[in-house]
Amino acid sequence: MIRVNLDVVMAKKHIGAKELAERIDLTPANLSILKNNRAKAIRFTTLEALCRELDCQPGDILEYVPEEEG
Amino acid sequence: MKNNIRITKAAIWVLAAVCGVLCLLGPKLVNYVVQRPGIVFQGALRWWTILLAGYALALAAFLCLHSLYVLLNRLERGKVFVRENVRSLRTVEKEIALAGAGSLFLGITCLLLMLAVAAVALFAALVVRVVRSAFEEAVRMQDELDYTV
Repeated sequence: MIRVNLDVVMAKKHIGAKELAERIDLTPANLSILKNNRAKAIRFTTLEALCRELDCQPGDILEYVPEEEG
Repeated sequence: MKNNIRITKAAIWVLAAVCGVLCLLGPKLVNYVVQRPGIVFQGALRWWTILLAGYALALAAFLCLHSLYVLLNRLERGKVFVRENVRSLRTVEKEIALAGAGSLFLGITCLLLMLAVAAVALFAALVVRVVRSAFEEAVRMQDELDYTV
């Protein structure tokens, strides 16, 4: 699975959810979906906006975690 | 789309009324039908089988019309690709298949003509099955779209 570590990056950059949502033109609800690993897909434009505002790389936000067998 | 839905809803009301009238005329219809030769059942057994199976088919028809009406109401409110519609279509498919099975039984035992009704009903059930599968896929795609940020 792909784990979204957005809350970790947001905490490091000291930026709140409401402020980030406004900066990247995303609704707080959609940002919450992303933060809580409920998103099924992310647009490149959204990923680009996140990396721009958080001054980070996609790999800082997205992490591949192997599925546990059984 | 709204016009199409209204026309279909009107057709449902008409069909329900026709079904109701046929139910009221049940015994008279059976008296007319038994004049044609039977296959397996004869006499009073055939008469009662046609009457009771006919009412059972009418019940299946009313249930199916009701399920379709509820589905149309949802479509009219803009709720198209939602799980409830998939469930409604599954229910409609089962109700049509049940009517087909009942018609098949009647066709084999009492009235050959019902075999044609059975064939049409079972074909309709297959068509609804395909539509239901398409709706399921659309709901899955809608779900994916809703959770794309």
